[in-house]
Amino acid sequence: MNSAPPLAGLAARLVRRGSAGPEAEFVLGDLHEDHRQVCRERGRLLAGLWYWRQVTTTALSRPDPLDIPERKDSHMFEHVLRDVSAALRSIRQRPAFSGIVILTLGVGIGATTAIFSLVNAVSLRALPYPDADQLVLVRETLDNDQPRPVPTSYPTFVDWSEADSFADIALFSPFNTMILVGPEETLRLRANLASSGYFELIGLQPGLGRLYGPEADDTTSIANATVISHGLWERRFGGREDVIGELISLNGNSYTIVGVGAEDYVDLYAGGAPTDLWVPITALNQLGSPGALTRRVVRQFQALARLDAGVSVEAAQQELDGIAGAIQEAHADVMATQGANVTALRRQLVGQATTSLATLMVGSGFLLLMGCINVASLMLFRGTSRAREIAIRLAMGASRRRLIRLLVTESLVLATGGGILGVFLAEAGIRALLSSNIVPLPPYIAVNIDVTVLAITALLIAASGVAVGLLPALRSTGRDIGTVLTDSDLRSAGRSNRRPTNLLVVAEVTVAVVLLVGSGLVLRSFQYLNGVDLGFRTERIMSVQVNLPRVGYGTEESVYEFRNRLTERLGGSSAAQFAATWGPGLPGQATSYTTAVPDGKVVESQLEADLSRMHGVTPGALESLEIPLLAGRLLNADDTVGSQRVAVISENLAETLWPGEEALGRVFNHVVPNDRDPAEYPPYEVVGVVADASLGGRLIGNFGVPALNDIYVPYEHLFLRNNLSSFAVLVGTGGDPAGATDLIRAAVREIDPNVPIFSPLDLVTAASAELVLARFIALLMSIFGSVSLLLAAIGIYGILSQSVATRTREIGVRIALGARASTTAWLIVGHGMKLAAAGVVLGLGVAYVLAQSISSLLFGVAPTDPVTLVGSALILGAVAMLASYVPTRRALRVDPADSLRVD
Amino acid sequence: MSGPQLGRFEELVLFALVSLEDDAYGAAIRREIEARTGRDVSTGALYTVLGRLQQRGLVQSKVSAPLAERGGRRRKYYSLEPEGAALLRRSHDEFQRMASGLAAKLPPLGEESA
Repeated sequence: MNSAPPLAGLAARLVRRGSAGPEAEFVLGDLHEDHRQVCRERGRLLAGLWYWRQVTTTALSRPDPLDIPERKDSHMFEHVLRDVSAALRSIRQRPAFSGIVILTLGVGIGATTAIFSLVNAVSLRALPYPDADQLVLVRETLDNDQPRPVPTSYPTFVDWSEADSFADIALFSPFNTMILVGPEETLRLRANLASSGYFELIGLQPGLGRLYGPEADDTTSIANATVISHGLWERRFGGREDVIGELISLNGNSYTIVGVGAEDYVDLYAGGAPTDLWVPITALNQLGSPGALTRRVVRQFQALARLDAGVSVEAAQQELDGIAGAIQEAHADVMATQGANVTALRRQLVGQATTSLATLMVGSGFLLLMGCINVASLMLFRGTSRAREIAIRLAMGASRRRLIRLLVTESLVLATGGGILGVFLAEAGIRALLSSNIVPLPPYIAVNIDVTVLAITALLIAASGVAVGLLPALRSTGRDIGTVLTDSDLRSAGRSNRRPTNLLVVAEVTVAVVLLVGSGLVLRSFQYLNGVDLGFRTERIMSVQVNLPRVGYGTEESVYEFRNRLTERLGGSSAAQFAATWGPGLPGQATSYTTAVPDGKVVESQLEADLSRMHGVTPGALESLEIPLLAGRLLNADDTVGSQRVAVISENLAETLWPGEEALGRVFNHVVPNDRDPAEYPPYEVVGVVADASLGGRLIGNFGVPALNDIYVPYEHLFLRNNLSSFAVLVGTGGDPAGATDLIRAAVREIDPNVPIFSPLDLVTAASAELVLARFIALLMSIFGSVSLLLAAIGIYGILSQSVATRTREIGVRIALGARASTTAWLIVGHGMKLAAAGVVLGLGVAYVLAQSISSLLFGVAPTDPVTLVGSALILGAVAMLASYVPTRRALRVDPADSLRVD
Repeated sequence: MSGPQLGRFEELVLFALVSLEDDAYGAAIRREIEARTGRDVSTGALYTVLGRLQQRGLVQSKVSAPLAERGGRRRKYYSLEPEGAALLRRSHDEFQRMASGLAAKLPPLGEESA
C-alpha cells in the first residue's frame, strides 16, 4: 500500500518552520505513522485532510487551548502566519462580505488568467520547431498596392535560394490531396509536397526507416518515395515494422514508403487535418498540370527558410526585394509585377489572433480593475464601520504599521481566495472554449495553465490584494482617535471625507464606459456581419466533396457520366428536394479563377482586370439555391456537351465588363497566361445576369477582401480538366440537412465504391465558418460588457448609498429647516450624476483612443460609432441615476428627528 | 501554594507518560490522550509542551533507530523524571482532595453539551 501522506515534502518544510521545528523529525515521524493508521480507519481522503490539519496547526504553532500561552520572540514567518490566521478569523466572521469580495476578484482574475493563458500559448511559448524564431516564410507578392503574399513557383524559389540571408531554404506545399487506393478502402490523404531540406528545417525525425534526401529534389525526374505520418502508419498499416519498402498506389502512381515520421510530430499548418504523408516535389511531374515545376506563373509552393545567424527579417526582405526586381526585369514577358515577402513563421501562424487577444486581454484587465474598485470601495466602507475597533486597538498601543499590515494581509488573503477561484474558473473556461471549437488553434499550440500563467496570476493576486487593501487601511488607521470615539461624524461626513469615494465613483464609471463601448462596438459589428445577406439559400442544404480519381475517370466522358448519374439518382430520391453538382469549391467560394475581358478589348496584363470565380454547375442548381435572375435566362439541360458555350454572370461582373450597357448576348474572353494555349480558354456568350452571391460576402470590403465577380457555366463547359473531376454535391432537404450525407454516400457507393466522399458540411455552417473568430470575440466581449455593467451598478449603488447614508443627518437638518424633499433629493442625486458625468466623459475619451486600435476587428461600424458611444453613456447615466436615487429616497423617508438622533 | 506548577495540558501529557510506560512517544501519547479524553490534540502543540517539560527537567527522552513505518524517521521516547513524577503526584492529589465527594453535586453533562 502506498501510504505516503499527500504533499509530504511541503508538509516537512512547513513543520520545520513552525515552533516545533527542532523536533521536526519526530513530529513528522509521528504524523507519518498516524496517517497510516487514520488511513486504515477512515480512508485515504479523510486521512489526508486529518494529516494536513495537523501540519497546519503545527506550522502555525498554535498551542493547545489548555496550554498556558507563552510569550517569546517570534520570527518574521510566524508574524506572517499569525497575521494570516487573524485575517482568516476576521474573514470567517463576515462570510457574506468575504464571499462577495472573493467572487468579484475571482471573476476578474479568472478572466484575465484565462485570456493570458491563451496569449501565453499563442505568442509567448516556443513553437515546436528547432530555432523556430529564425524560421521565416518566403512568398511572392503580385501587386504593390496590395502586398498580400501568394505562393511561389519552383523557378522563383531557385532564384531565392541564392540569397545570402538564408542558412537553409526549402519548398513545401501542404494542402494537397492524394488518393490512396487500397484493397479494402480508398482513402483521401493530405499530402505535403516538400523538398528534402524541409525535414531538417522543421525538425521531423524518422520514427522508422529514413527520410528522403536531396536525390528526391531532381526536378527532371520523378522520385517515387514517400514518408508517411505515424498516424497513417497506425491507422492504415497497423503499425507494422515491415512497412518500409512497401509499394503503395497514390493517385494511380506507385510510391515506396521509405520512412515513418516520429510519433508526436505535428506538421506546419496541420490545423484541423494532420499531414498524412510527405512526398517529393517531383510528384508534380505526375500529378499537376505540365510545367508545374518549370513555369514561373504556376505558384503552388511556399518557401520556408532559416535566417543566417544575425540576419533580421527586414534585412532578408531587403535582399529579396533586390532579387525580385532582377526576376521581374528578366521575365517581364510573363509577369507584370513581382515581389517577395518575408514573414517570421510565428507571425504568420499566430498573427491574426494577436489583435483579438490583445483586445480581450485589455478587456479582462479592465474587468479586474472594476472588480478591484468595487472591492476597494467595499473595504473603504467596512474600514469606516470598523473605525472604532481600529481606534481602540491604536489606543491600546498597537502600532499603525502593524494594523496596516493586518488589514492588508486580510485583503491579500481575500485576493488569494479570489485567485484560487479564478484559476478554477479560468481552467473551466479554457476547457469549454477549446472543446467548443470556437477558437480554431493548431494542435501544436497547447493552451493550459502553466508556471508562467500561475506566476502572472500570483502577480494579479498580489497587485489586487494590495490595491484594494492599502487605501482603506491607510484611511481607517490615519483617523484621529479623539474624533472617532467622541464624535459621531461618521453619519455626517464632511466634504473632505467624501473625496476618496468621489474618486472611486468616477473611476468606476470610467472603466465601465470603456468596457461598454468596447463590447458595444464588437457586438454591433458582429450583428452587422450576421445580418449581411449572402445572396443565396443556405438553409437545409448539405454539401459533400467528391474528387474523382484519375484511375477510371481519365476521360471527360467518364466524369460527365458519373456526375449525371449521381444527380439523377439523388434527384429521384424522395428525401431530396433537389440535387446538384457544383464545383470546384462551394457556391460563392470557388477555387478556380479566370480573368474575363469583353470580347474585342485587348488587355496587356492579367493584373489589369479583376479576377472572376468560375463555377461549373448542373442545370437547375442556380434555381435551387434561389439566386435571383435579373435578366435573360438561367442554364438548362440543353446547355451541355457540344452546345454553344454560354455563361450566366453576376450583376457585379456585368457592370464591370460592360459599364452601363446591356450584358445579354455579349461575349467575353479570358486573359490567357503567356505560356498557355489560348485554345484552352474559349469565349463564352452571356445568356443571363443574376444577383451577386457570395459565401464570403460578409467580409467583402473588410480585411481588404475585394468584391468578387462570378461566372456560372454548365460544368461540361469548364476549362482545365482538374476543375471537372473535383466538385461538391449539393442536396436540399426539407428538414435537418445532416441526414443527406448518408444519402449521398449511398448513391456514390452504388455508382462506384472506389470513389471517396469527404468534408460533409451544411451551407449554413460553411457560411458561418468565417465568423468563428468574430463570434468568439463578440461572445467574450459581451460577457465582459455585461459583467462590467453589473459590477458598475453594484459598485456605484454601493458607494453612493453609503455616501448618502453618511449624509443622513445633513438631509434631516435640511428637511427640518424647511427644505423641500425634491430639492434635497436633487442635491444628492445631482452630486451622484455629476460624478457619473465626469466618469462618462473620461471613459469616452479613453474608449475613443482604445477603439482606434481595435478597428481591424470591426465590420460595418466605425470606432466612433455614435450609437455605441451615446448608448453607453446613457446606460451608465441611467445606472448612476438609479443607484443614487434609491438610497436618497430612503434617506428622505427617515423622520428628520430620527436622523438627528442617529449615532 | 508555592513551587512549580503544572498546566492542564501538561498534566494530561504527564499522565499519558505514566499510562504508556516504556512506549511513550509522540504519536502514542497523542492517541492515549485522544482515547482517554476524546480531545483532538495537535502533534505540534504536544511537542511544544514536551520540549518545555524536558527543559524544566520533568521528563527525559531517548531516541530509537529509524523505522520504516515512520518514513525512515526515528522515535523519541519520553519518560518521567522523579521530579516530574512528584509534581504530577502532588497535582493529582490536590485535584482529588478538592474534587472528592463533589462530583455528585454537579449537574450531569448532556450528551453533546460539552
